[in-house]
Amino acid sequence: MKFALFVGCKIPALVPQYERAARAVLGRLGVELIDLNFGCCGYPSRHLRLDAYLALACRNLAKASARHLDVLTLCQCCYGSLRYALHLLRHEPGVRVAVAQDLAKDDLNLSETTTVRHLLDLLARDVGFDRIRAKVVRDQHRLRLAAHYGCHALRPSDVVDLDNNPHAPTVFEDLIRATGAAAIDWPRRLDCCGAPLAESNPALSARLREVKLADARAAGADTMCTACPFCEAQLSPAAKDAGLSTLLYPQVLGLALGIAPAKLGLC
Amino acid sequence: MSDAYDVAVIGAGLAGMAAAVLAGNRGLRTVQIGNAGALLFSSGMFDLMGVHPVEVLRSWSDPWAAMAAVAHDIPDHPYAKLTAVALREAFFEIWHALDAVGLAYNQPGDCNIEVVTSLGTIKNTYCLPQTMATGATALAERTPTLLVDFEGLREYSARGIAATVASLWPGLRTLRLAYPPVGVAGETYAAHIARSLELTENRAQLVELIRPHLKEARAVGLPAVLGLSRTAVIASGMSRDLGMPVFEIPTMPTSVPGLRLKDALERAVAARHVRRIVQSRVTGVTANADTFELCLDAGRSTTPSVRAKNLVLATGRFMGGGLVADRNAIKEPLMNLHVAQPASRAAWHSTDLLDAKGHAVNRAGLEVDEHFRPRDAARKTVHPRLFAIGAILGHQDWTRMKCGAGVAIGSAAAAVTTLERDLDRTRRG
Amino acid sequence: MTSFFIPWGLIASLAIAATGIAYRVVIWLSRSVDDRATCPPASVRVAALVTGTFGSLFGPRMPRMLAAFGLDVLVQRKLWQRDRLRWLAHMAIFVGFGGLFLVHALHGVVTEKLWPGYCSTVNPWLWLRDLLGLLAVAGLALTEVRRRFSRSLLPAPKPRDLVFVALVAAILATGFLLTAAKIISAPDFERMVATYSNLSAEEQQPLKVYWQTEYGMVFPASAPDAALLKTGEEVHESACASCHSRPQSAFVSYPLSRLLRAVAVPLAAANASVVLFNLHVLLCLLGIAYLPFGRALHIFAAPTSLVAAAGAATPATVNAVARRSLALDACVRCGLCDERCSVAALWALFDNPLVLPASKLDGVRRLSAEKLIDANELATLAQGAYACTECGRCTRDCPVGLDLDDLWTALKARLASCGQPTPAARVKTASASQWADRLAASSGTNGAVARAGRLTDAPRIFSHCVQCQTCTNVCPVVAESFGPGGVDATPQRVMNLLRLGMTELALGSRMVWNCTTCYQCQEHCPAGIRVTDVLYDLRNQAYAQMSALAAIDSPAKGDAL
Repeated sequence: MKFALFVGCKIPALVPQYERAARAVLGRLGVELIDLNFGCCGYPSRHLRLDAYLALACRNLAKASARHLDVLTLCQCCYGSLRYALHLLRHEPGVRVAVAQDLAKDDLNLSETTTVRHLLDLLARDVGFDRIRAKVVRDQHRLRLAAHYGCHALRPSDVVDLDNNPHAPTVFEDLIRATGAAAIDWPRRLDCCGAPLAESNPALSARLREVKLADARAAGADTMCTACPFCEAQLSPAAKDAGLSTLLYPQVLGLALGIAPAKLGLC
Repeated sequence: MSDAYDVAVIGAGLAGMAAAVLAGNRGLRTVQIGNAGALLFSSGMFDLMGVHPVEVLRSWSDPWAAMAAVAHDIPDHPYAKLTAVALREAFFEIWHALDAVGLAYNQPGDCNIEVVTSLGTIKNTYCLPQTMATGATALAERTPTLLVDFEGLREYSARGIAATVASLWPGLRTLRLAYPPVGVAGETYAAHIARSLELTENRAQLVELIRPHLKEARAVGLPAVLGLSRTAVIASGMSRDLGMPVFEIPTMPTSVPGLRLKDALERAVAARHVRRIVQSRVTGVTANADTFELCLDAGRSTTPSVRAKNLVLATGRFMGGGLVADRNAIKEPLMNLHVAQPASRAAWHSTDLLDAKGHAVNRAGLEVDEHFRPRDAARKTVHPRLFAIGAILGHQDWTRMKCGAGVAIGSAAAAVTTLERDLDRTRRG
Repeated sequence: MTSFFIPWGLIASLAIAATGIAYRVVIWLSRSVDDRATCPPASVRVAALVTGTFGSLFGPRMPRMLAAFGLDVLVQRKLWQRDRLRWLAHMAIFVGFGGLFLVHALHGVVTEKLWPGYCSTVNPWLWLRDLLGLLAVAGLALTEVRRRFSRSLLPAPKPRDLVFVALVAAILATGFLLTAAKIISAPDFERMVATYSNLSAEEQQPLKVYWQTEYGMVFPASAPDAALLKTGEEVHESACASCHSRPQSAFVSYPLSRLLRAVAVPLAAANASVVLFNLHVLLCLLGIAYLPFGRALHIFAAPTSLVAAAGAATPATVNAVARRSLALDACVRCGLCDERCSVAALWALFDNPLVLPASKLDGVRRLSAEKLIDANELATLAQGAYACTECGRCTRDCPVGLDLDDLWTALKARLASCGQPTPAARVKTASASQWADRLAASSGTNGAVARAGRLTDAPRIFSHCVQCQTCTNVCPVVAESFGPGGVDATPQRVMNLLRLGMTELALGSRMVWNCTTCYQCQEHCPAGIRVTDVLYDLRNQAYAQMSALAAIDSPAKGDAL
C-alpha cells in the first residue's frame, strides 16, 4: 500500500498533530507514504472561481498520476475538493479539455486512473478492521467518543466514497470501536460543524458549533473524535466550555496501537 | 464487487425499504439503489386498508375485513395475492426494525385508528408513530386538549383544526406561541423546531411557555415537531413536565415524521449491511442467464454497475419515474414491462376532478402473478427472478383506498419470501 | 596611504546613511498598512517603541533575541532550513564581504586592537583578504547562476536592485585590482622604501632585484641582475620581510597582477594605485551612503526584523504595527515565498502577479506609502489578497522570518476599509434586490467579466424542483438563522428564483453566501437536484460580477428580498 500523502494547508498551519499521528499510525500499519510537492487542493478557491479551483486541484492530481500513485488525504475538505475535480474531469468533456490545455502549459498531464482516498476509508477498506484489531495493544475502553463525520467526505455521495450510505454511515463508529473505545450515537453526528463560515459569518459558525457540542455532550460523549483539520480547529476551542475534549482519530488509534503520545502530538 | 448480490432492489420508497429490510433479516446479500425521496412525502402513518369502495367513501375500522372485501371485489388488487397472516407478520417485522433504531410506532393490532390531521380532518390509519397514537387516544376519549401552534409555521393553524373538528371534539382550546426560532423572513420550519427541541434547555423553555395556558386541559397537542430523533424521549419528558400527555398531530408533507421515517429506514438498512447507492439512477437493466446487470448513471455514481441474481422493482409511480406517461401511453421505462392501463388516453381522467370513483390513470400499473412477478400482456410471468412491488402495481388506488403501506410492505414480503425460497432451492439443488 | 575622500567623504556618507536610516525608522513609526481608522497615532507608536525596546532588551525575552541574532542573523538558520543553495550563496557573500568589512575596512578599530602586530601586507591578512573577497565574488556568481538556471515559471520579483549588486561587485573588483596594481607599482615601491627604510641607493638596488624576481614588482628598467639576488634577499629580510609576506599569497590579486604586467609602466605613470585606491574608497563610501536605499537596506532591516520578532511581546502590542512596516523593508525579495505559495498557479490564470507573496508585499508597500491611487490597482491587489488561502507556507518559509500571515491579515482589513472587502462581506452591504438592480445595470457595461455560470444556465439542472421544501428542512443555516437579520431566502426559494428566471435576485442573497456547503440539501433532494453545486455556481457568478463593479459606497443594510 503506497500513497502520495496530501497533507494540505490547514494541517501544517493549525493542526500539525494530525499529520504526526497519521504518519505514526500508518507507518505502524504498513502503509507507505510518498511526499510530493503538492499545492493547495483548491477548496478555498472554489467559492470564487471554478477555473481557479480546477487549476489548483488538477495540478495536484497530475503530480500524483505522473508517479502512478493514488492520493491519500487527511483533510476531508481536500478529499472532497480533489474528488470533485476528478468527477468533473470524468463527466464533463468541456472541463477535461480545458484542464488538459491548462496543465500542458506547465508540462503536466493527467491520467484519470488516479484516485483519491481519505484516511478513514483507507483504514476501513484497505487496512481492514481485523488487521487493526490484531494490532491493538492498549484497549481504549475509557473513551466515550462522539464521531464527528464532517461533511465533505460524506457528501455528495456521487462524488465521494467514504461510506456506503451517507444518510446512515457506520465507518467512523466502526473504526472507533476497533480501538476498544465506545462510539456514542448522537442525533447531530452528520451535521456541519460550521467551519466554512468561520470568517464570513462568525456568529452563525459559532452557533452551529455550539449546538453540535451540546448535542454530543447530552448524548453522553466525553470526547469529540474528528478526522478533518477544519472540524478539529473549529470544535476544539469551544469544546472545553461544553465539557468535552477533542481527539483526532489517528491519535485514538495511535494510543490503541501503543504508540507514545508524544509521537501522536499529544502532550 | 465482482460477486453478484442475491437481490437488487431498485427504489427506496416504503416498498423498496421494506424489501431491503426483510431481505437483510433473512441474511440475503442485498444492494439497494435509489434516493429515498418518496419517504420525505410520507405523513409518517402506515395505512393498511381504510376506504372501500372509494365511490361511497366507506371507511372501515377493521382493516382485515376491509382487506378481504377488497380482495373479493377487485380480483386484481395486490391484496388478492396476499394473506392476512403474511401481511400481519410483515408489518410486525417492519415495526420491530423501526423500533430497533429508535423510531417508536404503536404496535400494529386488529383495528384502524382515527387521528385528527393538521387540516382538522379525521384520518383512518393502521400503524402510526407513538406520539401520534397518543393523540388518537385523546380524540377517542374526547379529552379536553390544548392545541398549540407556532408563529411563522405555515400550513398549521391550531384554531383551524379546532374549528374544523369542533363538532366531533369539543373542549379544544388553542395557543399560538412566538417560540424561537422564528427565522427566515418571519417564517419558521417544523424541521428546525424539531431539531431545536432535541436540546433540553429548549424543551424546558417551551414547556414553560405552555404551562401558564394549560388551565383545564388534560392533554397538549403540538404539530409534529418533537425532535428529528429521540422523539420518545422528548415526548415523555415534556409529558412528565406538564403532567399530562403531549401528542403530535401529523402535518402536511414534507413533514418531520417523513424525515424521521427516512432516517430510520436508512439506519435499519445500514444495520443489515445492505449496500446502498443513494443519489443515482439505474439507466439500464440487462438480464443474463443467472443474473441481472444494472447500469448506473455514470454522472451520478461512483459505481458503474452492479449484478444481482434477483431484481425487485420498487420504482414507484410517476413522480419517482417508475412509470412514465407520454401523450399516448404509460410505459415502464426500465425494462419496458407491460403496464395495465385504460384503453385510450381519453379514459385516463374523469372530467370531474373530484369524482368519487377517482381516476383510471391512478389505477394503471404493472400486473403481477401470485408471487409479485410482472406479467406481460398475455398474462405470462416475464422472468422468474424479476419482482415488482409497491405503488408501481396496477389495480390499486392507494391514496384513495388508504392502502399504501399495506401494499408496499405486503408485496415486499411476498417477493422476498419467494426469492428467498428460490435461492435456497438453488443452493441446495 | 590616506584617501582624498577621508575624512570628509566618510563623514558625509555616514551622515547620509544615518539620515536615511532615521528616515526609514520614521516611516516604520508613521506609515502602516493598517486601516487608517484603527491605526494608533505616531506619538503612541513612538512611546510604545521605546517602552517595548527597553522591555525586550532588559526583560525575559532577551535570551530569545540573542539566540535570534546568533542563529538567524549570523548563521542564517532559517535560510539553511529552507534552501541550502541559497544559504550557501548568501553565506559566502555575508562571510566574505562582512569579513572584509570587519577585518579590512575596520582594521583600525577591530583588527589592530585584537592583533597589535597587524599589517595589511602580511599573512594571514594578505591571503585572508583575497579569500574573503573570492568568497564574496563566488557568492555573487552563485546567485546569478542559480537565478538564471532556476526553472521557475513565476514572474521575477521587482527588478533586482542592480545598483546594489553593482556597488558590491565594484568594491570587490576594485579591491582586487588595487592589490594587483600595488604588486606591480614601482612608485609604491619607491614610496615605501623612502618612508619605511633608510636604505641607501646602493642597498636599494639588490632589493629591487629581489622584489622584481620574487615579489612580482615591475620596474621600468630592464632585466634584473641575478647576482644581486642573494644580497637583495638579505636586505629584504632585514628591512621588509616583517611587514611583507609573499604577494603570491594573494592568490587572486597576484595572478591578476601578472595579467596587468604588460601595462605596468603606463599604469604607474597614471598613478593607477592611487586612483584605484581612491576609487575603492569612494565606492565604499557610496556603499555606506547607499545603506538606507534599495536592497542595501536589508543589511540593517533584516537583522532588526529578526531580532524584533524574537523579542515581540505576546499578545501583540502597538509595536506590531511598526513591525509590519519594518517587514516591508526587511523583505529581500528572494522569491522563496513565491516558490512555496500553495496557490502560485493562479497568478497565470488571473494574469495577476499580486497573487504571489513577494509581489503582493510590494503592493502592500505601495499601499502603505499611499502610492496606490488607481481603483484598478486596488482591485488587483484585492484579488491577490483574497486568492490567498492563509496556508502559512510563505510565513513558515521566509528566511528573514517576516510574519507574512500577519501582514496579509492587516492587508485584508485595510482593503475592507478601502471599499474592497471580501466577497462575503461585500454582499452584506446591500440587500439582494439592491444587488439585482446594480448587477442588471452593470452587466452590459463590462464585457470582460467572465460568466462563470455553468449550472444555472441549464434548465435541466433545476427544472425538476417541485418546491417540496426538503432542502430547507435539512439546511443547518436556515435552522440557526434567527430573527430579521437572518437568511433572506431559503435554498428552496433560491431554486424557485432560478425557475422563474430571476437569477440576479439570487446572486446577492444571504443564503448564497451563508451556505456552509455541507451538501445536506443535495444529498436529500428527492428530485436529485444539485442544490449545493448551484449555490456554489451562484457565488461564482456573484463574485465575478461584483468584482467588476466599482467600490461600494456607504453600506445599506438590508435583509429582505
